[in-house]
Amino acid sequence: MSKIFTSRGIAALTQSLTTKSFTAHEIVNTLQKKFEQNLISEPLSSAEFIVAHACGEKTYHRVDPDRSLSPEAMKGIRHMQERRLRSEPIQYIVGDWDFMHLTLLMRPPVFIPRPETEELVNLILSKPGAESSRKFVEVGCGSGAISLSLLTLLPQCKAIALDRNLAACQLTEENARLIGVTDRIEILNHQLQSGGVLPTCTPVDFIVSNPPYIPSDEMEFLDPDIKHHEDLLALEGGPDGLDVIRVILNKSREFLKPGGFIWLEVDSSHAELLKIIVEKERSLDLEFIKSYNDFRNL
Amino acid sequence: QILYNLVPWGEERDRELFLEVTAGAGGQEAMLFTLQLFKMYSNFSASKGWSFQVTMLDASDIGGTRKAGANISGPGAYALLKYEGGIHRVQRVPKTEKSGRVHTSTVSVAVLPQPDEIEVNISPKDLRIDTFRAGGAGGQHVNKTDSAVRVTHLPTGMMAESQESRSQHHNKDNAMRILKTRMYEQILDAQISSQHSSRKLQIGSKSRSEKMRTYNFQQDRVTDHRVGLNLFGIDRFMEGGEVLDDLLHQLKEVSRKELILEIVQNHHEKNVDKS
Repeated sequence: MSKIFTSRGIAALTQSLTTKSFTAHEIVNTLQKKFEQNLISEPLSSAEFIVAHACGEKTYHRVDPDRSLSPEAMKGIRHMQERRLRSEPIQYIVGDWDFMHLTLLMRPPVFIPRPETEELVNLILSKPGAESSRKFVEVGCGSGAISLSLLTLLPQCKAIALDRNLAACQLTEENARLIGVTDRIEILNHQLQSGGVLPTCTPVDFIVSNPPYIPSDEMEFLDPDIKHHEDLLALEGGPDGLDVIRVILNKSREFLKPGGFIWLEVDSSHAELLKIIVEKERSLDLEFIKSYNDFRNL
Repeated sequence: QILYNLVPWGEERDRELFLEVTAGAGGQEAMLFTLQLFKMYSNFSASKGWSFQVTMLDASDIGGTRKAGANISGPGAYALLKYEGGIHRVQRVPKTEKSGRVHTSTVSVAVLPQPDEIEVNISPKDLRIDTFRAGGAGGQHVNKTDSAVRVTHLPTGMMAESQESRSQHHNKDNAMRILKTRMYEQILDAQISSQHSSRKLQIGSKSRSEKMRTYNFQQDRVTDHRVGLNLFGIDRFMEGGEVLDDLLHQLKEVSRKELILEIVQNHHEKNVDKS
């Protein structure tokens, strides 16, 4: 995908944006056309989120389309436009995003939570007995979305969150402070694979993870938004996408209590594979209970 | 007066409602007026101290809005706003019109009550949930910001959508709530007996296709057709303040009188039957 954008084009737009006072909907139109011309994905939504952010709102629905924007707001919009033209994800540009009932800070290259993962959190919460959980481990916490949403909805629970990426750990820490659960989460910059016992006194009730699960040969087909901006290590799961998942399964007996659960978000190709792996490897001592289809039945 | 005090109006309970404005015939003009009406209701809610929470504002790139929705909440909100349901007709010369010709456009306003606890049971298997993700792999493979959700109740074909939140989970919750509200309204409608069809002031889905009000800018006049009321000063009316409040109170009075009359007539008929 080649991008047609010249610095002259931006300068022209910049100029026209400074000489006149524009309304919100006029700016959205202008940005949308610019993004369309440059083959940026979701041109309209991108324009709307940028303008909403400049107006101090999360979504464009809250913005009066007829309102005019201040020169400072216009300056901010220009910067955001330039970042989007480099196909940087909106969540990074705007700096925060919503997951479940939480608003979390977002920062490149930490993995941006996906809507499917909200389903995972809901499944965990709707399992009978969820409220009696006391402790869980999250492998690959990223921005902290899973752990933090679970902690806020399970007030009796504590979490240990791991991520091999220091930036992810720092972001999870910041989000934990924002949400106010720092006393119930321990964040470790640690790669599960490298061994070392997790400093837990008691085995945990469940393990949860949205581990990198994209098979290596599918990585090249990712959108530039993802490929050029998000942490690739949070995405790629080896030849069959199961590398990290295997590690989780293998290591689980070290810290998962007997009868505990492992909740994983996996690739659509993995459901059957996982069932087979778990059944074959009796040494894992795991039982494959169920695979849930995401809301689209994949 | 005695009868008036005897009837249990129960309007303090009527606090929650969902308001939806949809542009009808008239292209850009209709869309511009739709947005103006929406703002009027927003201002009105503010003046009454009610909360006005926009759930949807489908902004058009030529100005105005095709469709907008809001949750309104406050004491007696539904009791007043329920008379806004129906077709609003506007007659004026559009800004873009060169020859000064008057255009007529319409806006459809729907007002749906939301009781505090909606007891509508919907089975998950009766629902189809649509998100933007048309096909192919999702999850880590895709990062999209569009998290709109549309829920369809398959047996009835009823739909509700929400795009107000950046969280898909939230949008799904909202869509479900709106769907339940719509289904509740259907249940309510079924309960409204046939006696009510003779009333001047209809509420619920019966009112949906009634041309109840005309805003004539040439004559600076707002006419409510149901009760034959004329008000002058459209701009003041559209401010969503006292003028609108007065009209709604008058409509409420008419509606109450109609109800009392019905009660009396029913009572009389019952007595006649007995003798």
